[in-house]
Amino acid sequence: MLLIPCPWCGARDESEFTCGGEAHIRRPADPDALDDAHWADYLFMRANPKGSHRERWCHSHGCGRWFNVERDTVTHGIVSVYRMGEPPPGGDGS
Amino acid sequence: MTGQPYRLAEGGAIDRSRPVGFSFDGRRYTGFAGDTLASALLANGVTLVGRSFKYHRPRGILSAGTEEPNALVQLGTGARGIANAKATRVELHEGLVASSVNCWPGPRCDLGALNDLAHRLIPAGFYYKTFMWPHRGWHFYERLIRRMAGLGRAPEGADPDRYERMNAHCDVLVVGAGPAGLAAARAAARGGSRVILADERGLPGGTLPDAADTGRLGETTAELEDLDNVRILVRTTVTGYFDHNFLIALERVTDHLGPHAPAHLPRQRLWRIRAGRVVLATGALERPLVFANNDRPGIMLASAARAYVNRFAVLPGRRAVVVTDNDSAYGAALDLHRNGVEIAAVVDLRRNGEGGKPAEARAAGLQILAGHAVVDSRGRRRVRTAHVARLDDDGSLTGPVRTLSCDLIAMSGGWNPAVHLFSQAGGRLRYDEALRAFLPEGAPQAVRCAGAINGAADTASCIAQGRAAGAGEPDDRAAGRVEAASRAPWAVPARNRAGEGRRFVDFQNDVTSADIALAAREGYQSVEHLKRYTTLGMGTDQGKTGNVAGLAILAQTLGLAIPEVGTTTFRPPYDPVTFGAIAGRDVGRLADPVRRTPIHRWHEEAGAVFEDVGQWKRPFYYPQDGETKHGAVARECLAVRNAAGVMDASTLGKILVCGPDARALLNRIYTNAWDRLEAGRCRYGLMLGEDGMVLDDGVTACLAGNRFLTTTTTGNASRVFAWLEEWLQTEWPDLDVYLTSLTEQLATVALAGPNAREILAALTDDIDLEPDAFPFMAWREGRVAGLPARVFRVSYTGELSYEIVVPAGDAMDLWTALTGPEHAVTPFGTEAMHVLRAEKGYLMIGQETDGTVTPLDLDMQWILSRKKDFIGRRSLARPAMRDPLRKRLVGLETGDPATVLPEGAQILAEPPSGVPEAMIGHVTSSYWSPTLGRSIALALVQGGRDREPPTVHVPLDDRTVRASIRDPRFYDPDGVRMNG
Amino acid sequence: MAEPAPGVELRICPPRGRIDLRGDPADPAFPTAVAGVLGFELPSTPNTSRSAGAATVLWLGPDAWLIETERAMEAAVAERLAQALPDLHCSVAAVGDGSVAFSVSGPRAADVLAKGMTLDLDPARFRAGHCARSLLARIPVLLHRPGDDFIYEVTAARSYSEYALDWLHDAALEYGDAAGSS
Repeated sequence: MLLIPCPWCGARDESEFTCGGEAHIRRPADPDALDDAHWADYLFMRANPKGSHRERWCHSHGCGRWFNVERDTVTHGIVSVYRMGEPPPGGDGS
Repeated sequence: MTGQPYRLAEGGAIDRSRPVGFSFDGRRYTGFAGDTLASALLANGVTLVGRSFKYHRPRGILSAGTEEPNALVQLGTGARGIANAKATRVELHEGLVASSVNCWPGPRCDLGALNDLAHRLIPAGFYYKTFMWPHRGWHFYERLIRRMAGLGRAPEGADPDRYERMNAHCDVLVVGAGPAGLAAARAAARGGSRVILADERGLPGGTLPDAADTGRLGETTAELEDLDNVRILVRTTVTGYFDHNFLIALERVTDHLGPHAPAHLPRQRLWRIRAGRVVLATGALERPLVFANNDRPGIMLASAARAYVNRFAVLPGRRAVVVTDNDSAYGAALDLHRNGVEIAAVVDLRRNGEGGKPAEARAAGLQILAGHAVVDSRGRRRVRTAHVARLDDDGSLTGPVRTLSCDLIAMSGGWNPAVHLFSQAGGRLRYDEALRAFLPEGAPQAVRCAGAINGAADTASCIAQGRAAGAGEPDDRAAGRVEAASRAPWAVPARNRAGEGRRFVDFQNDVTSADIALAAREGYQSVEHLKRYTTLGMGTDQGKTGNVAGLAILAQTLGLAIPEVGTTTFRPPYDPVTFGAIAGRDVGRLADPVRRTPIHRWHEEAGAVFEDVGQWKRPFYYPQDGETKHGAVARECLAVRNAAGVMDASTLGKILVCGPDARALLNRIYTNAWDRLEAGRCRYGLMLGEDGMVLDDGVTACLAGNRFLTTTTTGNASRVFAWLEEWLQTEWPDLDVYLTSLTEQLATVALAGPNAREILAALTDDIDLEPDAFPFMAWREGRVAGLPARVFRVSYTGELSYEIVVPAGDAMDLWTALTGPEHAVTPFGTEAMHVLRAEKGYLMIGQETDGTVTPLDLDMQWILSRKKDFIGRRSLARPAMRDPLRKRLVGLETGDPATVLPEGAQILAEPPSGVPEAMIGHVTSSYWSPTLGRSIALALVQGGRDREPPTVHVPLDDRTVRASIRDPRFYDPDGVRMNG
Repeated sequence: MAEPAPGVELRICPPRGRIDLRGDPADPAFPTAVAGVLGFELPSTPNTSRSAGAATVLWLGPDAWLIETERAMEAAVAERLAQALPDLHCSVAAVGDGSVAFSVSGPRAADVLAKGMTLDLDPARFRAGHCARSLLARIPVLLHRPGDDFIYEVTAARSYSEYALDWLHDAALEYGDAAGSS
């Protein structure tokens, strides 16, 4: 059971949150400009790294805000949290 | 004391003024307050307490704690019974009833012991090897095997006791209240931290052998008990260590009181603890020695023998052989000797039995046989003799075998630090050659170890480490370690070539050193494979005593070093947790949250049968005097078609969408266009996932310029709300829209049927209901039955219909007014609604859709805007979505109109021929239509309505039903009635 | 062992007015206009409440507040807010019928709540004027500690309220549950 530091509410139990999967995946501005393979990439393909991973989480049973979490998938340690629209503390979020 | 022949006249931490009566295997005994079941049995001279799992060997009491593999008992009877309780941990209470497990008719005469005679036929992996063939045979064998094995019996009937769950937070959690744990808790508490101190025993103080030593820790305990920032949990086993310092502990609140427990207290409480820091002061567990027939009753761990004589004032035997490969057992020998146990010999596997401890023993007149080993034992129900031989330098036996008569063999094969929780925390273990043990190394979580878990062997080092760990200061983890000087063999060799006499490594699972060697030879060389093949380390004790010796023997067989073999993964729970404690109070009526509409009480009083829709209770139908479900649903349907009905639709999701970009949001979320929806009008909308699959549908009304009220299906209300919020917050923060859920604030009552207008007219005087003034898909504000209301002219039944929306607090008044006798309105439930909508061919989300259905599959191209992008649109252009063989929505008409197909039935193109067939679809909705006087069904079928020929076959259990594909709109296909 | 002295008291709070307020605190016009209606500033510290006169405002999120009023005042306050915020992007919705509040009080009140909540309810941490949305026994709730004494208010959605009360009573059995539900 993770203890997740919501950027607004502070550390709360994982049961209050919803995980939204990999962060920083932008919806293509013009979906028609993508061929089927690229559209499928956007739809289905997600990174599954061993180690540091950026995810988005929602404090769904708290303040209701979405935010980003950088989490180590090996130790489950949370490296950083940052709000939507903010750059990742480590850089290179695009 | 009569009746307790092995009880000492004085000493120990028991209360001789409080005798406690109990029964074991049908016989009545007496012990004292402060006894465990094990100590009370020993006091009464009962050493044979059960049979082993596989060979049904007679077994006694091995330990005095949680690590006990043998002395498992069935505790209590009936619904309160507990299987496989450890007699060494069960606190005695008046009237306690216990019995042996795994033997029939009883431990003294057990038919299963035939397995023991046939043991050569039952090697490791026997069950895997023997019962593989024929492949259907397992179902037969399984029942027999389960009867023979399986330990205790599951209780029968619902558990009458209460179990609680409690969440707790602390700065420092200290696990274990021995010298190290108490010191840690005190240091942390003095520093102002919030401390939880948990110990599995009934009193803090740990397992120091001498009751007097334990008493000295009483001062610390008393100080802790007085502090507001310390919570001491006794009888509480920390069983699981999870991420981010989240730990689970089981408190046995009243187990030790038995039937005398106060009724208001739970039997057990599961603690869910979030700790800033954790100090593990979990101590160490003694290892047995591996020699032939080392499992007889009367053979126990030296530390256990010491605990029984010191703490419980019980003699575990009258003439003992102590056998050890380290110094710690000398203390046991001396304590036994002091209390009148004759010590036949101290057998020390080490060549050089010198040093302080052996010298002390020698001074006390004890005979020490250095460089010797116990190689075998005899005695059926209790050990009678120990057989001792000299060990050569290379670990082989040499010289004659001496026989020592005894009724107790106290053995020590060294100590395993209790690293279980540390390992669960993700901590790394290091095998220490000098200590012959796995020690805690680095950990990814905020956890410190203190005391014997670090290998510390003396109390002062334990206290020093505890104090430092509690205060968060650096310490010397290596302090107090005593090197295991010997290279004694992990398994004492057999006394002759035939290798007779099994040498048990894992007592509970009857795994011998030969089994481990056999498994290694057969290729099960990974420790994880070894475990699963031999069951080494499984069961209720999880190999606490036997695992390390097992690994060492595997390493030896493979010619590897122990660190190369490694350990199996330590998993929660450390000690078994009852299902009752896991379930807590989530049982019975509290099993799952229940949602009720504001009109629920009326439905109840009207005798409604309820349907669970998610957590909601919705009226399914309202049977009237003796009506069947079929009769009630038919009556309700016909009432709506011919007169009028009302339905409680309060469970529908309602979202207020508000802001300058509200229309833009609707345009992106829904497949159709929202630019021209005026205030006072509503529109049906369909939303897709980005993968193009239908997510939800519902009607959205424009309340004012940029204020909309969107409805969702009952089951998807929170999901759709979250879906919209996710897009707004993550992808479109530029859109100025606020969403507010009004699902709970507003109640909805649907009034449907040809008489609906007339009935509503009688209840409102400020809404013009004339069709021209209030057309289909419009909404009006006004008063209904005197209540402020919004009225939406929408229809899910195909009839003229109004959905009346009022604040939830007014819902009961509205419903009461609508169902007044003067209106002749029939309340209808969800089943009638399903039938009515299916007659119209309307889809129901979750019934016709299952996350794999696109709007194209539903022939809903008409709702897909071509002028804008929307979520899921691009996916509909993928070639697979246009595949003519995709399943599409159709109506199905059975050849025999009386046959109602089961929902979920598979559909074939041809009648089944006996070979595997390709399914071409399935029935999604199927009902008896009282309106049409025949069955109707909706289905998803490859090719949909273009399918040729249109005849399909639905195989059922006993026959195959022919059906033909048709337009899913069975009733009023042009919508004349609802538009009227 | 005798039954313990009552350690918890459970009550259903009388119906109250509630207004769900959304708006951008970074736009100075919004908090100013709201303060003009309420007579005090919106709480901006997460998970805190502010109270004056007959109104209490609870922070729900960075752009979301719940205004609690007397039941009879709900419509009027909502109307005044709507009028004070005519050209601003904001949302005002009366939601008083949508939930039910319970008061849980007494020396063991926090223990009863802790059976179903993962929040840290240490009185020194969850102090007077603290509030939080969280889960109680898998039900979404709003927890509020209005004052220094051990009185907690649990607000649950109306549909869950019967279950919530049932659950609370059952949880309180161990500590002696003083009052009935009504």
